[in-house]
Amino acid sequence: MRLFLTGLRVQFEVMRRQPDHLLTLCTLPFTAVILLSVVLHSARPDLVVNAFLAPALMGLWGFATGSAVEVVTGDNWSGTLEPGMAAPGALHPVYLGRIAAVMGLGVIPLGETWLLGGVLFGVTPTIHHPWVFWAAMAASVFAMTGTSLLMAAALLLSRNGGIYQNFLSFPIYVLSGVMVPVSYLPEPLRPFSHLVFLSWAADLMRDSASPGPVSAVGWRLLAVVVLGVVGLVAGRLLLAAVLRRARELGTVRYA
Amino acid sequence: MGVRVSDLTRTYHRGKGWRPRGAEVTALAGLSLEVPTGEVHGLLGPNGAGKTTLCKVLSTILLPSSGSAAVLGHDVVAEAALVRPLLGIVFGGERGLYWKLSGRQNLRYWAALYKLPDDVARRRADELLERLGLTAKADDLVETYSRGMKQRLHLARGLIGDPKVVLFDEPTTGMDPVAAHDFRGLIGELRDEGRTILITTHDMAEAEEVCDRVTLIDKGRVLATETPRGLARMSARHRWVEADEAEVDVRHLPGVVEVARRDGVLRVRTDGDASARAVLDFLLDNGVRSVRAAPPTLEEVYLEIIGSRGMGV
Repeated sequence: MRLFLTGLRVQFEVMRRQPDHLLTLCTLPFTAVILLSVVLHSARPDLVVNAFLAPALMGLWGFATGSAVEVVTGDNWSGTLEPGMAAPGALHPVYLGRIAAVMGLGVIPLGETWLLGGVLFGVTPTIHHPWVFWAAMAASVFAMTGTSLLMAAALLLSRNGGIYQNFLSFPIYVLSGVMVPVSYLPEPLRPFSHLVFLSWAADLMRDSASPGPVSAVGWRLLAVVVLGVVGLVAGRLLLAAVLRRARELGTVRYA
Repeated sequence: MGVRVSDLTRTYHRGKGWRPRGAEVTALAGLSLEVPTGEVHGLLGPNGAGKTTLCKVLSTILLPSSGSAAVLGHDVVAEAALVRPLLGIVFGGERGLYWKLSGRQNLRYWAALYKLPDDVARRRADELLERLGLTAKADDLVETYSRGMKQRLHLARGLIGDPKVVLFDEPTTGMDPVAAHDFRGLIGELRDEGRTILITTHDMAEAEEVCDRVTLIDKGRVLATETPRGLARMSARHRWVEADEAEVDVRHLPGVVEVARRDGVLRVRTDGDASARAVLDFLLDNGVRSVRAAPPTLEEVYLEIIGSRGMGV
C-alpha cells in the first residue's frame, strides 16, 4: 500500500509540474461542442445524454492512453526503470499508484462537458438515478486503472508505442458504444464490445439518465469491475513477464 | 567476501522478437573476480569490455548466461531479493532521475522503493543531501540542476538504502574537477564505514587514488587484478625515468620510446633496464641533478596491457 501511495504522490507532483499531462482537457471541448451541436441541430433530444457521456468517457480513455500508459515507458526512457528493477520494492504497486493518479483526473472531463453544455448550449441532461451513474463512473475509473496497467506493460515491448496508442482511441470508442449505442454495430462485432468495460459503463450511465428503472444494475456493475480486475491481473502478469524478459535479454523491447 | 564472481558469462542475441535468435554477442566471457569486504575495487577497461554488464548482473538487473555471482554471500540469481537491499548502484550520466521532482522528492521516492520507514527515509534523505552539498537546492526541481549536481544526486540515490556494497558505474562522468575531487573524498569515507565498493572508470588517476586494487578487463575477461602499484610492477616491458628542470634532449639515445614534458618534469619511457640506466647516466652527465627512476602510471600500464585501440571498441 505504501508503494501505491508513493506512486500516487509522485505522479501528482509530476503532473502538477508538467501541464502536458492535461492536454486531454484542452482537446475535449472540441469533441464535446461538435457532438452537442450535431445532436441539438438535428433536434434529437433523446441523444443529448449520449452527446454528454461520449466526451466524458472519451476523456477518461484519453487520460489513460495519453498519460497513464506512458508511466512505464517514460521510466524506461528516463533511465529510472533500471535502478527501480535493482531496488528491493516491487514496481507494480508504484506504477499502479501512478496510473491511479492519472485516472483520478479522468473524472474532470465529465464536469468539463457538463459545464460546456450548460454554458454554451443551455442544456444539461437530468440524471434520474445518480447513485447508478456515480457507481458506474467509479467502476469505470477502477477498470480503466487496471486496463491501463495492462496497456502500459504492453507498450513497453514496442519501439513504436505511439502507433498503438493512436489505434487504441477511435476503434475503442466505436466498439464500446460511448457515442453510438452498441446495438447500431454490425451483429458480428457486438460480442467484442462486451469485452470492453466502457460498453457496460456507457450503457449503465445512459440508463441512469432515463426515468424508468435500471435493470440488472449489480450484474452490469460487476461486469465493469470484473473486466477491470482482468486487466489489472493481466497487467500485473505482463509487467512481471516483461521485466523478467528484460533481465534475461538485457532489453525490454520486443521489436 | 563482498563480491564473488565465478566464471561469469553473459551473451546477447541480436535480432527482434520475444526471443531474439540473431548473432551472438559476448559481453562477459568466463569472468572471475573476488572483492573482499571493505575493499575499494576499480574495474578498468575500454568501451565494450563488459564493465557495465558486470555491474548490471551484480545489481540483479541482468541475469548471467552461465557462471555465478554473489554479493556478501548471496547469489544474485537465486537470492536476488536478499541481494537488492544490500546493494546500491550509481550509474553515470544524467539519466535515472525524475527531472520534474525535486532532489528531496527523488530521494524520498527511492527510499520508499528501498522500503525505508517514513521517518528513516526523511532523515536519511536530509543526511545525504547535506553530505553531498545539495541541501540548498534540495527542494528545486532536478531539471534545474547542473550536470555535476545531478551526478551528486545519483550518488545520494545509490546510498539511500544504506547499502553494504556500492557499485559505481562511471560515477564522475560530467563532474567538474572540484566535484570529482570531493567524490574521491566520499569514497574514502564510504571505505572507512566498512562498505565494499566496486567502481568502473576510465579515469586512471581516479582509480590510482581511490582503489585498493584494480582489475583490468577486456572482451569480458580479466587481464589482471592487482594493487595499482603492483600492476605497475607487472609492466615489465618499459622503464621510466623522470627528471626535474632538465633542458637536455634525450630522444637520440638508444632505447628511448617516448619523451614527454609536463609541469617542468621530463618523463622518458625506455624499452628496458639498460636503456633507462643509459638515460639516467646521460642526464647526470649533463648536469641534471634531480633524476629518478619512476614507476609507470596506471594509464601507461593500462595502455600497455590492453593496447592502444584508437577509436576501436
